[in-house]
Amino acid sequence: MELAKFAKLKDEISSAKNIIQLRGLRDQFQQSTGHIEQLHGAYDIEQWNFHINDVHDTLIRKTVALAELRMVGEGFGPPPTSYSYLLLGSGGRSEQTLASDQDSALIYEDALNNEEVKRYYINFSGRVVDMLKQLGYPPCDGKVQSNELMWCQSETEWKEKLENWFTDASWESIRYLLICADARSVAGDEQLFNRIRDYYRLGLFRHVTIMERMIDNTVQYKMLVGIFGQFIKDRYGDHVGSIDVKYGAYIPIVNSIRWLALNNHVTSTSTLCRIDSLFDKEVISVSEYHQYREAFLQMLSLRLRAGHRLEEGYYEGFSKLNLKKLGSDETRDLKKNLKIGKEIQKHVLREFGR
Amino acid sequence: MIKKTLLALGLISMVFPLAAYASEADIANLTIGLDSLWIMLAFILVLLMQGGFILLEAGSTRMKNAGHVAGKTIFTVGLAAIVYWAVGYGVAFGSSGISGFMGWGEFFFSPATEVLEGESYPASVFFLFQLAFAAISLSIAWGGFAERAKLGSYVIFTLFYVSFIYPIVAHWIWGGGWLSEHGAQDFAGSTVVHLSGAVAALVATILLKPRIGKFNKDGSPNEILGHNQVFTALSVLLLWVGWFGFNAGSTVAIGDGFFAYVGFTTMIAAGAGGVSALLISWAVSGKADITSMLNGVLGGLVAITASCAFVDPWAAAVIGLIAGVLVFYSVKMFEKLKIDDPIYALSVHGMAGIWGTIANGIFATQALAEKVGVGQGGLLDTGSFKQLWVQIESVVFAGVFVAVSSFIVLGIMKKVMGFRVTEEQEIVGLDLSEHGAYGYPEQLTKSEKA
Repeated sequence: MELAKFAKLKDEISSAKNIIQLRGLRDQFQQSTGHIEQLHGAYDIEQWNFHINDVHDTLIRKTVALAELRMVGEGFGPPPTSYSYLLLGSGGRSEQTLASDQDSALIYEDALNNEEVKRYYINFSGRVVDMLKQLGYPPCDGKVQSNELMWCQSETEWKEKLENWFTDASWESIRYLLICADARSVAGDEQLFNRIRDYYRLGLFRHVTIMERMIDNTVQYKMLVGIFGQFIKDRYGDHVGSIDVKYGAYIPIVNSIRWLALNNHVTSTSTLCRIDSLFDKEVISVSEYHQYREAFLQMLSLRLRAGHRLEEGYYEGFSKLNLKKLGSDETRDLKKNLKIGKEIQKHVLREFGR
Repeated sequence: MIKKTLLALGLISMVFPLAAYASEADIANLTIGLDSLWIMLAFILVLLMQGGFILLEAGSTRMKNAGHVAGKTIFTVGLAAIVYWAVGYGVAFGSSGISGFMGWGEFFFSPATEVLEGESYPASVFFLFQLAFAAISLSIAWGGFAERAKLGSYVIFTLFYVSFIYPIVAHWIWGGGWLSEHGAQDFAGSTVVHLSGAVAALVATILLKPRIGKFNKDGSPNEILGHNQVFTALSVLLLWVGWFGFNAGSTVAIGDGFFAYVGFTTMIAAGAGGVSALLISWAVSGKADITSMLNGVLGGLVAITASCAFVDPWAAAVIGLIAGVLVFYSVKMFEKLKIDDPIYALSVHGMAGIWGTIANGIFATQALAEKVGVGQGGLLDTGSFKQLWVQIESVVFAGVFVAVSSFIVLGIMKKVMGFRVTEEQEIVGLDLSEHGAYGYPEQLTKSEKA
C-alpha cells in the first residue's frame, strides 16, 4: 500500500460513522496490505510497521470515540472524569501485526464517587472491547483487557496496584509490571497516563532489586537456535519444519530490549525506539546497535510473514513460519540474527553477573 | 597357649568343615552348584525383564491399549515357553546339526533331573536361560506390532518366531553354527536377541503401516505421546537391572569372577548411553528429552551386550556414548522414512544392536577374545580387519535372514487372516476390542473412545 493510500484510509477511518463502516475499512486495509513478501530491506519493514500501526491506532482511537457516543446515546452520559485508554503488548509497542489480539487497560481520574465512576468505565470499556471484536481484533486469552476490573482503575488505584506489585515482586507481579512497561496511551487524556508512567519509573528507582527479579521472566523464552547453530524446528504436528517466530525469535528480543531499556531509564515503548535510546545512552556500542536493529527488524518481518487467517470474524495470527518459505539469504540471515538474539539475552544476564 | 591354639583350630574346623575336610569331588559339586545357582539367578533376572517390557510398551503407548499390552506380554512369554520347549531349543542347540544352518534333536526337551557326567551345570537351567533370551527377543519384536495388531497375529507369530526364526540365528552364533565357526563374537546377544527382534519389528511395522494419526496426509509426523513416562522410566530401571542377568549371566560360570567384569562394562556403557543421548537431545532440540535419555540407556545396554566380555572399560564407555547418539538420530531417521516405531524398538534394539556387534570388530582385545575363546581381537588392538569383517557378516546375514523369514510369515498372515485390527477397533483401543475391558476402566468409558 502506498503512503497516499495509508493517509486516505486514515481519513476515512476518522470520519466513519459507525462500526460497520469501520469493519469495512479494516477488511479493505487487511486485503491491501497482505503482501509482506514483497517488502525488502530494513527501511521497507520499518516503514511498513509504522504505517500499519498508525492505521491500527486510528481504528482503535475511532472505536473509543464511537463507544463514547454510544454511551451518550444509551443514556449513560459522557465520561464522568478524564480517562486514558491504554494499549499494552504489541499495541503498546507499536508492533501490531495484521492479526494482533486486544491487550488494553484504562486509567480514569480519581473521583469521590469512585464505585459509580468505575461502573461507568467498566461498562464503557466493555463496549470498546466488543466493538474491537466486531472489527476483528480477537479478545485477549489472558484477560488483559480494559473491561476487566484488574485493568480498569482510578489513578490512585493504579498507583497502589503498582506499589503492591513492586513490593510483592512475585512471579505474577513481575509479569504484570512487565506488561505495564509497554503501556501507551492511544486515546483520552495523555497526562493522566504520563503521571502513572512517572510513578512506574519512580517504582523502579525505589525498589532497587526489582530489575534483577525481572531477569528470570525476561529470558524465559529461548532463541530457537541450537548449540551447533542449527534451527530448533517443530518436529511434530501441523507445523513440522517450522519455527515459532513469535516465541522463539521475536519475543525473546523484545523482552531483553525492554529489560535493558527499563534498567537504563528509557521511556519509549517501541523496541526500535528503545534500541535507539540505548545507543544514545551508550549502553550498546555502534556495532551492537546495528546488529540489534537488524535482528529485530528481521524478526518483525518474519512475524508478519507468518501470516494470519480469518476465524469467526477475527483476524487470528500464526506464530509459526515454515522455513521452506524463506530464501537461502533469509535463512542465513535468520540463523545469524537468532544468534544475535542470544547475545542480547546474554547482555541482560551480564548486567547482574549471571 | 597350646591349649588355646588347639581350641581355636577345632572351632575353625567346625565353622569351615569343607575347607578342612573337603574332597576334590565335593569342591567340584560345589562349583557346579554355584554355577547352576548363578545361571538360575540370571534366568530369573532376564525373565523379570519382561516386567520392564510391559512397563516400557504400556508407558510408551496410549491408555486405551495398556491392559492389552501387559496381558499379551505375559501370555506370549508362556506360549514361547511351550514352543521353545517343543521345537525352538532343538533348532538352536539340537545335537544333530544340519550343516551349521540349524540344530536338530532334543525336541520336546526332556532334561536329566541332575547334572550329568562332564557337564558344568544341569541342562535344565541352560534351557531356562536360553528360553528367557528367546522370550526377550520376541518381546522386542512386539514393538513393531504395538497398538494395531490383532491378538491372533501375536499367537501365530510366536509359533514361527520361537520355533524357527530366532533359534536358527541363535544356532548360527551360539549353537555351533556357521557364524560361530567364523569366530562371530556376540557375547550375550546384540545380534541374536536384539537385532533379530528389531528386524522382526521392522517388518511388522512396515506391513502393518503406521498407527492412525501418526502421519498427516502431507507425510508430516504427529507425536503420539505415551500415557505414562514414569512407567517408561521404571521399565528402563527394571531392564537395566535385568541386564546383569543377561550379560553377566552369559558367563554361565562364577569361575574366576569374570562375570563381575562383564557386569562392570555393562554398567559403564549404559550410563554413557544415557548421558550422550540426553546431551545430544538437548543440543539438537533445545530441550533435554527424557524419552531420548531413556532410549540412550537402553541403546548403551544393547550395544555393550555383544562386547561386554571382549572390551576394555574405556571402550565400553565409547560404545555406550556412540550408542546414545546413534539411537537419538535413528529415531529421527525412522520418522523421516515414515516408519511408525511406537516403542523405538528399531532404534534401541536394531541400530544399537548393529553398532554393538560391529563395535566388537573394532574394540575387542586379543587378550579378552582369548579368555572368552571366541574370535580374535578387533581392529584397534590387532590392526586386523578380520574380526570386523566377521561381525559385519553376522549383522548382514542374521538381519537378512530374520527380515526375509519374518516377511514370509507375516505376509502370509496378513493375506490369510489379516494382521491389523479394523479402524474402529484401533480407535476404540485394543483393551476393549480384543479383550472386552479397559486396563484403566475408571479413566475410560466406551463412549469416550479415547
